[in-house]
Amino acid sequence: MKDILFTVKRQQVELFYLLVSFLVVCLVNVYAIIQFSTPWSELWTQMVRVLILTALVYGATVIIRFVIYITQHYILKNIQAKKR
Amino acid sequence: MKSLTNINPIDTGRRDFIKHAGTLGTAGVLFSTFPWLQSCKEEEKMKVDKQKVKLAIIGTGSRGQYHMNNLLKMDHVEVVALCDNYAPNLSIASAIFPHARTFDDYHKLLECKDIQAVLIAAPLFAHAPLTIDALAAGKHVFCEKSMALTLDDCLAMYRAYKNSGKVLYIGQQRLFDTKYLKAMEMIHKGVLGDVCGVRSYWFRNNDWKRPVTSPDLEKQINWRLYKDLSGGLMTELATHQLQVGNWAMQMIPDKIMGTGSIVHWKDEREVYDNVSLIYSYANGVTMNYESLISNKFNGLEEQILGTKGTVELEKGRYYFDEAEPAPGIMQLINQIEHKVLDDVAFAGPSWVPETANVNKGFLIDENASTTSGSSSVGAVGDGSFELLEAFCTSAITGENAPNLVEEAYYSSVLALLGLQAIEEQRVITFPDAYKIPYLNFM
Repeated sequence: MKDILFTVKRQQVELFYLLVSFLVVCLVNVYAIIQFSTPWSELWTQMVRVLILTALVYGATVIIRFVIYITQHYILKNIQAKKR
Repeated sequence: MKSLTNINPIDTGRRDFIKHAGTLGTAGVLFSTFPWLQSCKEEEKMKVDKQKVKLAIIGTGSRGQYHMNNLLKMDHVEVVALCDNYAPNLSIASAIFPHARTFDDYHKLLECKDIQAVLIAAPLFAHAPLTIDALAAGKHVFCEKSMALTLDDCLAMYRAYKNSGKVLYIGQQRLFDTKYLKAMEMIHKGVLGDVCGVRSYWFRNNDWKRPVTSPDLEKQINWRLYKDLSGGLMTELATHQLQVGNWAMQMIPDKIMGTGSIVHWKDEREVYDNVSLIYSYANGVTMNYESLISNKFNGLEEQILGTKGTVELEKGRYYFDEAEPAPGIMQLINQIEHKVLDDVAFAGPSWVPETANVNKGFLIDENASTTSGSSSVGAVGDGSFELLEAFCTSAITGENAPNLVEEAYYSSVLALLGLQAIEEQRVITFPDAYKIPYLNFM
């Protein structure tokens, strides 16, 4: 077992992704309110749903970034192996 | 006890009505819409501050005792006399009000000058003579519903009241029940669309017959079972619900048809144990009424059917036909879901059952009490307390409750006309001779 290091830079990056996710979902909510002519009060009455969707979107970014990381890591490892 | 004047303004837009369903309209609107609530005004209550009406109770049976228990909690009344020709009930009543004088002849009671008002909770056949004599003796009168056993007696009571200048209240307690007041405000403001139908029913599974110690007492105790003393289901139960239908419609029906029979309780009773009637209003709307006392599955209810929704007054709930649209964000997610999944081929075409969704509706009043309707005596929080309290106030001020007697008169007459329609097996047109100036019969 070794300690997992969660650097300040990493925390900033994750907060950035979380904030972007939240803003995207808020914009989707605004679009839905306009599209379906529902009351503007849904900007705050639907906040729980917006937060749940934010968590889902953020989770999706985590998965996508993890897949990208794994793929890049695998490709780099192959290239280095071929050079040797 | 919740005050009927504890009120806040509401907006009757659909969303805002739901949000504010726990409140009633402004005081001015409230008292002009429901004028019989005048005695519930704070200024009326101020007028009677520290005053007590000296009240006599005629009829000390189960309903009379129910009222006595309510009177014990009121400030503006002093029960000074009790009257009954059935000694066991009189002794029970006397234990509740030990300082009250007792009588077995109401004529002697009415001679007492100190008695200002009487509460009549006697059997139906005695309502008219008791009320007319009491008004003639200068007493204010609270009489239980239904008004009387015959159309002529109902009219005679109404005329005696009009000529006396005294206060008359009839025990239509739903007129003072908060959830009914709120629902009627909602109906009359069109929140549920146009009223297109009224359905009322009262189902019980119990016998009205009570054991008697001597055959001589049979008619005195079981008066509800005999046609010369009672109208059975129509005068005991239907009057309440017919009044609610008229209240919602703001109209009196002009055609009545019906049928009735004795299906289950074949115990030598004369009154029907099941009835089914249609009351037709001039605008084509019908009020369907059904009652039987050999099955209680459905309980009791008055349903006011509007083009946009329904109110169930006994349950204190209202329902819209079209569900409130989902929030925009949920509609968007549904749309995306449909676009993605609707093209996915499943085994055969999809089939959506057309069974109606369960619509739980909304409560008219979070704090309102409801009843199963199985009690023959009365229920807590059904407006009876407020009605009696308003009567005590009116008896002190001498100011009547506008429209209250008219509401009760028409519900009593309609119950009797329903009986007549059943007996004569024909459609009855409301007779001009029994029309009094009110609503569409002005």
